[in-house]
Amino acid sequence: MDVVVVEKLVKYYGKVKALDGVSFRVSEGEIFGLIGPNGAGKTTTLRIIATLLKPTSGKALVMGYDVVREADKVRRIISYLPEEAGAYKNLTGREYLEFMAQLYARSKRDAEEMVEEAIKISGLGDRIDDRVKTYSKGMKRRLLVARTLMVKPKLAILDEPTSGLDVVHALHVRKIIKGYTRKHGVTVLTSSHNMLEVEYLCDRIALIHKGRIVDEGVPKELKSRYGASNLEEVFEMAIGGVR
Amino acid sequence: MGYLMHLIKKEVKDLLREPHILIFAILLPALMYIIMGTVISGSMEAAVKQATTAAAKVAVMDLDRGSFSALFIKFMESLPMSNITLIENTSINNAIKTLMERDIRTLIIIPRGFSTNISRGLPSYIESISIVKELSLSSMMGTGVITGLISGFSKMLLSIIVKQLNMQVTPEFITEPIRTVSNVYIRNKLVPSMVLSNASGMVFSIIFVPLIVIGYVASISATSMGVEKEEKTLEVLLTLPVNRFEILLSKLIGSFIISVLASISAGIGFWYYMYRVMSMSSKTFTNRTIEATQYGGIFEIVSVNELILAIIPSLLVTIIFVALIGFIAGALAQNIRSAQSVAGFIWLPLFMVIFPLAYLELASMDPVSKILIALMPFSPPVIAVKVLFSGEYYVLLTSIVASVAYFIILLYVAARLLSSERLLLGIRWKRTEHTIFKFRR
Repeated sequence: MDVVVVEKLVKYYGKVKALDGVSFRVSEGEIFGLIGPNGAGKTTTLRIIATLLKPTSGKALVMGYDVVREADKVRRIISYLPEEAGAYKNLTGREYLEFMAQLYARSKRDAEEMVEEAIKISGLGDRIDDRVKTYSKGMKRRLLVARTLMVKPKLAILDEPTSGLDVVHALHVRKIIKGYTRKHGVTVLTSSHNMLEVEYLCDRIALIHKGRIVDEGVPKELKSRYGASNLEEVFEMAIGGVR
Repeated sequence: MGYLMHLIKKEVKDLLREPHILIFAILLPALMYIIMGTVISGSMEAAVKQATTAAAKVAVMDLDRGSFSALFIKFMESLPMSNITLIENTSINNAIKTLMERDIRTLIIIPRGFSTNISRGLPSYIESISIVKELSLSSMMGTGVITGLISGFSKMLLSIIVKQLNMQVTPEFITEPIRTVSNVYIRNKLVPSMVLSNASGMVFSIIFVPLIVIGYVASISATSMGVEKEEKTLEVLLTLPVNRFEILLSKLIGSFIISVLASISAGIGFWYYMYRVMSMSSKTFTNRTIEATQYGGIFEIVSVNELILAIIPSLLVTIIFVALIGFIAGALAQNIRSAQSVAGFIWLPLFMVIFPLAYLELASMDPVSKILIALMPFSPPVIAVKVLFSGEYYVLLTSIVASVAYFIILLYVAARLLSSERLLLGIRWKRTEHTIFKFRR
């Protein structure tokens, strides 16, 4: 079953065309990556699917629900991590997780389990009871990734999940995403311009450039199809025609 | 509305832990009034002490040397803490020189012919010269104390004369044969005019503190929205499985709760200030102040219930209305600082309405003008004070209903804003590509 169906999405910001007929599908349990440079339209696509923006035309469905007309239903089954996200700095890490868990949990016990799970995922240990404003950038990002995943959403939307992290923390976060989503069967739609991350994380990818999908497939297959040694070369060859 | 309480709890916790809200909106107003009250009453107390001490040390130059001047000196010596120095007849300049050397601040001169004049039934005088080293409360009070002492002697003298002449009247009759009994007729009641001035003072002080707090309300609710932008929590908030109207309400109610806490805190501080200053004034100043405090003030005209029913809804509706304006300002701004700057402008319309309205006499206007004034936003608290005396509650009701209507209209605007992508993308100016919030593709 397709968790995400995107068809001919077009988005204008005033006169600027940000998306120009983007279409793709994401199957259940899959980690799907939108790959492209800054300004390619990755964040706009993710924001539309996360119900934050309305497309100028085209449609996007999550588990069959339209992201514009049935936004309330979509919000119940997704969990979104923006690229530049923050947490309430005056709350402690635990209070922040508790606040978020109670919005998704069916019972108190359920919420407690979510929080315990998130503390494990974040690897924050005792620092979880410190205020968020005392956290480093890496700690904050780990808290936010944990918050996104702890609710075991049908679809996790992760915009540049390792944005701004050093190698060690980025590796930790990638492992968490891969391990946790596999274990709980969470479908992931992610975006990145880090080709290394994409190769490690994604089952399938779509290459996006200037608001259009230029190619789509399994990373290994794409590399062999283009006769490239890495995804950077694939991307370069794929956008050759639309440059 | 399943998550409203949960969202409000988080909102209040987050706002209360915001240092500038905790310090500037809650702690500082109370602290400011408490410090002001303590400093002012403390300095007044010190000034009184200084003035009394200075007044107790007096030099008397008796040019008269008669029976009544001797009586005056005896009277002065009989006063507690008195320290009288008699100086020889000399020129004023020499006398002042002596005073300076002995650190005496007041010279009392009893002129020649003082006793003769009094014996003949002619008015006389006693001259006092106070040495002022600098302009201060105690130096001003010092002259008042001396005048009071001389007037006390004058009254004592009067009762002696009345007794000696065997007059069939009291000394009070001689000094004030006719007294004025001033009453006012208000709300079908005849009350002493002192009640009216007391009542106005009380009512305005009841609404004064919340009005000050209303200024903070906009800033608090603007902060609650501005902080979501600045800390980049807004995007996540808008994708949570929560009705957006609940988000709006939680922010309004959260700001409202903080504002009520700020009102209570400022109120405690203000009442402490009033208590310190008033209790000091009644010790220090005229009998009129003491007399004024003997009346019940507002409660001789209106009942407690009436006061609560008029004031509380007016303040609440204004506070929540201002909170909503702050929320919209916060939603349109980029960060806390710009949100607060925009919200800060709320003072301007607020005071443009409140101050002129406080001076206008609503009761003498025609009904159409009254209704037009009642339709002005922010008017309910001032109108409440006015109708408490006039009894024209329809004007207050109109004012409250109008504010509720404006609130509903603005609530609709805010709800639209919250569900619009403009909240995230910001406002685009037509001529330039500048946006209040930068957006990324």
